[in-house]
Amino acid sequence: MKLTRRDLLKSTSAVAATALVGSKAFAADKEGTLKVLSFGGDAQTTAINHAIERFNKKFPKVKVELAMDPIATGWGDYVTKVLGQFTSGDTADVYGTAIETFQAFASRDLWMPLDDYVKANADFSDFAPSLLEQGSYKGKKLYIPIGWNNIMINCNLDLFAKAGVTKPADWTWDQFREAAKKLTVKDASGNVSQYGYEVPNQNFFVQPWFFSNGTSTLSADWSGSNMLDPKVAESLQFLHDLIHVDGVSPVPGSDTMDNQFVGGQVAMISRGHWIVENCKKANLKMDIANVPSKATPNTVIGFGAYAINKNTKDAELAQALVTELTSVETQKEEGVGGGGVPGRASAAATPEFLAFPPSAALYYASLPHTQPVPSPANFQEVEKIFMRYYTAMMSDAVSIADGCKQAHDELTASFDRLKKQQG
Amino acid sequence: MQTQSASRWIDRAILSVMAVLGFFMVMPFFWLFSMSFRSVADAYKMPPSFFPPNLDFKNYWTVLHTSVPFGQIYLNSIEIALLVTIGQLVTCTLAAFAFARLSFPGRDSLFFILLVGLMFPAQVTILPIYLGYAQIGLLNKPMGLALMYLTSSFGVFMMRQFMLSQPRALEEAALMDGAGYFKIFWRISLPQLRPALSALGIITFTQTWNYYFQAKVLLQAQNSMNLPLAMDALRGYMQSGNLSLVMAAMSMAVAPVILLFLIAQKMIIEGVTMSGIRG
Repeated sequence: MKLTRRDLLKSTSAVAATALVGSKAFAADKEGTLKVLSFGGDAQTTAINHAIERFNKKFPKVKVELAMDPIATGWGDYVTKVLGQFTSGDTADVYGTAIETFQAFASRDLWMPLDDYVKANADFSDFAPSLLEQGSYKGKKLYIPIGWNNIMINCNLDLFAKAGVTKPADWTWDQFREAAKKLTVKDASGNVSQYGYEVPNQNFFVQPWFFSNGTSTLSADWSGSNMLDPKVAESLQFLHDLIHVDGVSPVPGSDTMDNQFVGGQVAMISRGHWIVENCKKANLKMDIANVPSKATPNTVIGFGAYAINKNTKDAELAQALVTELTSVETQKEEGVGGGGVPGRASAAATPEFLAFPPSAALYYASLPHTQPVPSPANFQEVEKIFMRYYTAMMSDAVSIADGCKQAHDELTASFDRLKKQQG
Repeated sequence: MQTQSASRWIDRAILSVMAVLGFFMVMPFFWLFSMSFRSVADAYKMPPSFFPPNLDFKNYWTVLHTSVPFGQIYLNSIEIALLVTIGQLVTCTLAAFAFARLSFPGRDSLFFILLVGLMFPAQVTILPIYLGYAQIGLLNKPMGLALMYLTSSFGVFMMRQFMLSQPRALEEAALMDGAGYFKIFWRISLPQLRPALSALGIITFTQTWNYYFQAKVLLQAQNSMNLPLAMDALRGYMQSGNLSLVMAAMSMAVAPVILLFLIAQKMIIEGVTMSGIRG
């Protein structure tokens, strides 16, 4: 029998139509409940809710229950929360999480490998390959990226103009220090009414001060402490002096100073793209600059991702939801709303995303100079130990030398415990 | 005459001290409401102004239109607070009657054990409760949080103290006339307990309205949250949100409690005084 081109076209169309009808029928018939635990503020929650609405158009009989965590006290507490869920057996099917937690979760074998799923979705090539690589553990892809945040210096442009300071794209530690001094306003008695900079109060925000000095608080492979490196002490001394010698920053407390930045009481703060959400709503004239460099121009990067519980009842359904949660549409909405720099290059190249802040292109331009936030499997302990000593050193409760030594000892003990646990 | 004049001056001095203390107690509430009508820029303007520059309700509107389901969360808080309040009024009163009026073996030891419950903070008991709730599907349900507090050691103690201060003559007469214990409780003891019931009701409602730690562990889904958790969510990712918005949400959250206190303050004071509990 001779097969004409028309016959081939007809039969192919018939097969495709059957497959399409079949897949729609499959989707329409699927029933069940999917639980999602993710993180973020209003921008992310709105984008995720819209993604769930789109998912429900395809799967009308599937109920999606969303829980959001604002990460008010750092990622360590989020790790504790998720591990608590796995201990109790009351788990979600899909988890939104961040690089800080990757090893802590992956080393406990909580997630389903997603290599086949990634291979089947050519669409994922839109993500920077490094994001998918960093979402792998022991050769298996476990995390599908969402967006990322690299810490930049956020500048209140009105305060810069008032102080006659030009916002640079790049600067050194010394130039930054001089700018911070000029941006600090004190009255005759020395009382500060406007700070030049907020010395950070969270682990993630403070990391660029080590990276830009060519060091880190942990060893390069995140397997031990590096607190005794003199460069760590040098970075801490620099931050300490901004507070206690120059008086350009308050002592870091438990609350962040995002509102004071928007309100014009602090001229510069170290934050990621998420700050854009509040600045936009407040019509603040702000822009970003690269972090000041000393030995390197490096800053820190963290990125969010979705993982699927390996015990989920319906992996196919969970994957379909992740496809929607990581779609271009969702990423565009999160990016414009201010939930992070979209992991998909196409979503970060839109005029809407690049419109605010004026130098928004710097987020992607600085990508080659980023280092992931040190995130070992014992991250929740490491973060708490470091922050406890960091806060004590910044408030002069302990000297930099003693603080580094004591933090090193505690970190070393924590890593020893981890090694024992991992055999 | 001189003594009368001196005592008037003492009264005035006491009133002045009370007025100053009252001012400091009211100030945080005033500042809360004042902040809720300001933009972030106005909220952090230096020097700060006592009154908001204008009465802008934008923050209130925004609270009701964010991704945080504030209306649903408000209803959850009402549900939890009402269930716990009614539950405690019933269980604590019945238990207090047994401890105050009945004689049974081991009564005082049981009461002592009950009081030991006052010494354990919620952090000690939350883990087994969390694990148990996970097994029976009570996580992420406002009812689950309410269930934990349907009775309380403090409530039993307070009601017992109140009952002990009441004369027993009427109850003994009823007993001699052949009334059963429940009839005595219902017809004689309960009507005398009105001030104490009001005080316990209001104290319990206020406490329950403000549950944070327990709710944070047990209620993680957005639709099941209570108001203190909504404040966390409105604070934004890594505390980056607009604080004036949180103040507007807080103003709405504290309104029922303030209203309740203003309406029933006489009964609270009377109840607490008569039961011999010091705050």
